[in-house]
This record gives sequence, structure tokens and C-alpha cells, in this order.
Amino acid sequence: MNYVVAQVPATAPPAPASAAESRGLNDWLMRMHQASISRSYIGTFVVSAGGNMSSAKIWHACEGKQQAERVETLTGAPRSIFRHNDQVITFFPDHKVARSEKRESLGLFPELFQSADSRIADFYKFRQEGIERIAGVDADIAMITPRDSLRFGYRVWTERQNGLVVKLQTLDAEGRVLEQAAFSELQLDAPVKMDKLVQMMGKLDGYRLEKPTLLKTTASAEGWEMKAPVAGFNAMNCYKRPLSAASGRMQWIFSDGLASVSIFIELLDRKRHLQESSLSLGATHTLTKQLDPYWITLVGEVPLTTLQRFSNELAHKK
Amino acid sequence: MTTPERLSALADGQLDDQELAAVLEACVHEPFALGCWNTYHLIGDVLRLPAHASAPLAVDAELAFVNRLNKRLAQELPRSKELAPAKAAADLIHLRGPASNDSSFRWKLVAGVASLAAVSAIAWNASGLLAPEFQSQLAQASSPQIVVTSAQGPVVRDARLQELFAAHKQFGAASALQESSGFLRNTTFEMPAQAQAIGGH
Repeated sequence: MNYVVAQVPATAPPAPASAAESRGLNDWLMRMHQASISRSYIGTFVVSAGGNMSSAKIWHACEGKQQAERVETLTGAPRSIFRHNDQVITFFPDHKVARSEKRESLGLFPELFQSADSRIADFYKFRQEGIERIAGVDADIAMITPRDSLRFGYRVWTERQNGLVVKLQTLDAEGRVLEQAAFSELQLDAPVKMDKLVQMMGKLDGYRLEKPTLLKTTASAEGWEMKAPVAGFNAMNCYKRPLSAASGRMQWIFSDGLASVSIFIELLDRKRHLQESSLSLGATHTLTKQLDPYWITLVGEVPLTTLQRFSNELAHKK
Repeated sequence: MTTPERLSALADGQLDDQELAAVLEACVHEPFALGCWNTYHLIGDVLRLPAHASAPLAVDAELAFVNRLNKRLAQELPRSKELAPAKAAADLIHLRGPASNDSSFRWKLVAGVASLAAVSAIAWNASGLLAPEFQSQLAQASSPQIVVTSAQGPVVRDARLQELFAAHKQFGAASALQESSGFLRNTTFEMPAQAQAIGGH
């Protein structure tokens, strides 16, 4: 039996935000962005989603336009993650393997919400909601509420003076917390040395360096299109993994500025792709769908109905 | 501890000398024990396959694993009913729980295998999303998804989905909220899956 996807009723896109609303949200996002690239800190970060909880110790250094970060996980197998701007190296000490990769999504902002076609405020309402103490710092609380049912809401705590995000909740339509990430302790303006972090990042002695092959492509070049856009979501990037287990697997990424959706496309393999299904983990939902001769997996921090909308609009160009 | 529990703990490197002696003794006298040991290692191998390992090995191993697991599941499920639901739920959310020699650890709920906690570090919630008949069908089918019943409703473990989840978090997290806190969120949270995917080198 296939799990039959319920028909998603078409909803009209919400009315565009006023200039003032748009400015309010964009200014706040900009301040948050500035704080993330101008403050050095040491802290412990805790993430809980769908009953899973993880924590990590963070060192963050900023010098001019350069940023470096060190993340030591405190749960699960030990891992050290170093980031220098958009370059990321993950060390797996148990296996003496280091993986190097470039994270383009880190370099997308603030262009994303400053560009003309970015209309985050058209799809989310923004309001300030008071003050609370988080991890020893006073934080402003902001509510970001979706204007339609295609996305989740967020409650964001930012440090009062500079706007650094200290806590973030993802909320469903009823206001229930689906996911939460927060600092449990935070030492702002800690003396974290950029050159020291970069130096540690380069210490690969005894490690085997892996570089996953990821080719940049376009959905169009791969023969895929969206028959109609899903309101608010713009196509961001498209990659394919030529050497992956599922040959020709493609990942097409969409974002509305706050929430993102990945569409994975691979050739159908009847041994592995048995049933269409949909699952959730905290705020992240997944949906699988057979689109002969392909197998589609959608993953995103959006309601299931949004993934259904994406899957209905996705088409292979003849 | 039963022999399977000891073997499971041994596979996890969690046995002390005395217990090790007992389990080696058991392997000599109980033919069943060796089969059990092989299954645990197969599970370990599946877990440690790199994300980009050649497909046939991964898939066959996975399917063989799931087939065996399903058989074991069928045998073990009645036992699981004896567990307090709250405890069962708590165990399902272990990212990498203690081995089965920890008395609080009840991964035997699913086939008595401690290592299974790592099959997918993350349990997907199927509650309210899957039709009940589909859930039971999933539980019986030799599908790469494993359905486990918890007090919070059915949860699904799916190694492949896990991989895509990690890829989404890694390359697909395009959000103004995610730029700084998101990187931390994703490195803090995604990595259990990554660690499983990269092991065995």
C-alpha cells in the first residue's frame, strides 16, 4: 500500500507586508547578523528536537571580516568541528578521519534578505515580546509568526546590547515548541584567538582527510522544474553527488529566508524504495514519493503540507 | 545478563574481564551465541559504512540486517510489553546510550541489541503521519525502515533517511535565522548521524 498524500487545498498568498513591517523585520535580522560576525564568545549550546537532545561547547572568534569557530560535541561520539569563514573541517578522533567541506549557505546572508526578491516580511509577522534572562545575559524576545500555513513560527531571544541569538524556538501553528536551541552558558567577548583556532584547524597529523564530492549544478540542467512556485520559497542551490551510493543523487534547495526545504532526487531502486511515507523529527518533516523512474525525498523545517505542495509541483521536463 | 546481552555489550566494548570470560565460555557451549555475535557485528558493519560506500554492499548488508532484525523483532516484541511505557520512551531517545550491561538500558526492546541505538541516532516520529495499517505493514515488511512502538507513539528508524537529513542540515540550511545559531544548531545536532556514517575506516 502506498501512503496516499492528502490533497493540499490551494491557499491565496498572504497580502504583502507594509514597508514599515518589512523594515522592522529586516533591521532586526540585520542586527542579528552583525552580532554573529562581530562578537567573540565561549559557550555551551544545547539543542533539543523531537525528544533528542545534544549539546556542544562553542568557541567563536571574530576579527575584522574573518570568523572562526570551534565546536566540541558533548553528546554522542566525540567530534570537533572547526569553521574558518565558509570552510569547515570535522574531526572524528575515534576513526582518525577529518572531513573538509565548504558551506555555501553560510555566505548567503545578508544578501538574501536585502535583495529585491526577498520578501521575508511578506510571509512572516514580527513583534517584540519583552525581556528574559538567558544563560546569564538579558535578552529581547521576538516573535516571528507565519502569515500562512506553509511555514512554522519562531521565538527568538537576542542578547540586548548587540543582538546575538542566545535561544531559538521553532513553533507550530498552535504555538507548541517543536524544537529548541539555546546557550546554557555564555561568556561574551571572551578572549578567543582567531589564529589559534585556524592553527588547530590545520592540524591534520594522523588524520585521513576526506573531501566529499559535491558538484554544483542547476535543476534545469538536470531536467527538473517546479510547475508552479510554492509561495515564498526561492530556489537557492542545486548539487549532485556523482559518487554517492544512489547514483546521480541530486539535492535541490529552497528557502523562504527563514525555513528551508531540500528535494533529493535519485533513480528508483525497488529493492530499497518500498513505501512512500512521511515522518517528523522536531520541526523537520520528511516526505518520500515515487515519481517513476525516480524516487523523491523531501526534507525541510516546514509543515508536512508544505512538502506535499513541493512534491505536487515538482516535475521532470520531457 | 543473558548471553545476547553480554554479546551485545562485548560488541560495544563494554564488558569487564569477568564478564568477558563468561561470554567466551558461553560462545563455546551455546551454538546460538556465535550466530548472535555475527548478527551484532553485521549491525556494527552496517552502522560503520561510510555514506558514500559502494551501493551493493551497503544495500545487501542493510537488507540482510533488517531481515534478521525483523525476525528477531517478531520474537522479542511480546517481551517488550512487559516494559513500563515511560521507560521505553526514554530509551528510544538515547543518542548513544549506555551499553546493555547498564541495567537502565532497555534497547532489548528492539531485538536486544545495544548497538541498535546507533542504527539511526534519531528516531523519526510517525505518530499522526502514517495510517495505522501502514505502520503495521511497515513493521512487518523487510523495509529499510524500522518501526518501534513507544509511549509517544510509533517511531521510525531509517538509516538512509538519516543520511538525507544530514545532507539537508549541512547544505540545505538556508535561513537568515540559521546563519549563526543554525550552524551551531546543525553541528551540535546533526553530527551523531555523521559520526555513524563515517566510521569504520
